[in-house]
Amino acid sequence: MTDTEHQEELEYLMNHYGDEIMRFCTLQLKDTFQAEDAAQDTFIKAWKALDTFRNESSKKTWLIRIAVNTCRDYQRTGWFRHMDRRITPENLPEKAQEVHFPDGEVSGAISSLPAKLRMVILLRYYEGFTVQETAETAGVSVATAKRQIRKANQLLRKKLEGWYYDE
Amino acid sequence: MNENDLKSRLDAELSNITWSVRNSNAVRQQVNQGGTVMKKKLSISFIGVIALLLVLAAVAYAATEVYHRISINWKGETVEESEIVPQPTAKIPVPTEEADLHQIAERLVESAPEGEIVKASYPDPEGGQSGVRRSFCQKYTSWEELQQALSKNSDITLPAWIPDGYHLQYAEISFKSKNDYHLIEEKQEGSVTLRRYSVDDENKVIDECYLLLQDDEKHTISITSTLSGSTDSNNSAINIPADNSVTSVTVPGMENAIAINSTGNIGSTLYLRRLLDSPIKWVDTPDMPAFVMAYNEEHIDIWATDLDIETLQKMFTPD
Repeated sequence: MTDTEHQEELEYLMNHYGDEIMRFCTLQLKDTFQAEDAAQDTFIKAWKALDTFRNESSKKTWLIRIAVNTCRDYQRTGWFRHMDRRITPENLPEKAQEVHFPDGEVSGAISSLPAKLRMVILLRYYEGFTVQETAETAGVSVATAKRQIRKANQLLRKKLEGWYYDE
Repeated sequence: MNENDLKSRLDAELSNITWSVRNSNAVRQQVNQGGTVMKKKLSISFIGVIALLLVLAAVAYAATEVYHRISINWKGETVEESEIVPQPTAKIPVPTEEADLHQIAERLVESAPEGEIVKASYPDPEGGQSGVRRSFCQKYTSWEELQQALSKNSDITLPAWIPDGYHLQYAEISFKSKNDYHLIEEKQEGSVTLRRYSVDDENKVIDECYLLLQDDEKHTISITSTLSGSTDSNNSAINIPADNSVTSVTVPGMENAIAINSTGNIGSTLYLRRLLDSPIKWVDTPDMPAFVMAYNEEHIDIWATDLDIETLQKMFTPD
């Protein structure tokens, strides 16, 4: 790939997947400023690795996998420890009375999940990955991914009772 | 719920979070410079740590051009090993859209008085918001004044003892609010909005304390105490070069203590983890999602250029 082709591909990735990567990183890191850094890092890493992309997965799947690893790195840094956040159950938003929620309720509920469960639920339901893809991207076995998805579903069902149902 | 419900709902809730032109510009610029993201929120303490890590990386890995690292949890166990192979870089031109707005935002934040939370934001072409912010902190150069400021606070641990010859060179305490923020001023300069917030004394939550101690020969001790929401000692505590190792040590009152055994003469590093007596709740500024969050533990990073681990342990061992 030439430098010009690298540049064009980077522009394509940022234009098509920028919003989605930003939102994924925001939900995973629970901090918009950190998410901005992580999303930028994701595209830089993608640009560096463009020559190794072999079309064995979709570009989106490939990018999300880079974003997952980038977010993990951010979660391990000292600064992230400073920014680490947890929503205590008693401070979750009030349960809604009908299938209409104030802004932030679903993202708040997902943000309150433990990091590993948040990761698999975002990959499975937000990014539309298969269980196999979710397992590979999260770096766990298919059985573990299924167990984590089931556990995340149980927790989300409690938090979003009233509109949550199994597939 | 199915995946369509969740995706559409999340996209709606997060519609103000978008990839801005400024983000694209930042990526182009960093790619042009070799591909390292400049973090926006670096406190002085972390600048010091990062500078140290850069020196370490440069010295230790210049020959091999491969960065091997391990991730260590609070028990001192390796939880992951990985390696980074530097990639060749190419030149990509950097457009300058939004650069003027960003400069205005930076100038406005810089000109605001100390001791406030300051945010300057501007709309990006995709309908989102970009901006610059500065956290709320107070600075000290007197040990007595610092002790006085923390006298009613039991969440941040100060050293019980300071080695002979060392004195406080600089200290910085950062705050959040446990309840709400007062808008001091909101003003517009072009399309940049500046917001300045204050926090009532009774609502202040100290969430970070950084200390820089030095002796007359500039031998240095850096101590960063931060509050964290995590509650799991299996969580990663630190990433270190793979040829370093850690040792679990004991410090009274601390849940975990790990010492880094590094290669080369780069000083001593000790990490402490202490559980708080009860969660400390806090909220973010009104322009952020209205989540109530809680700190559950204190993490203390101690690095000294010329002291051994035993001395650092003693510093945090009450009489």
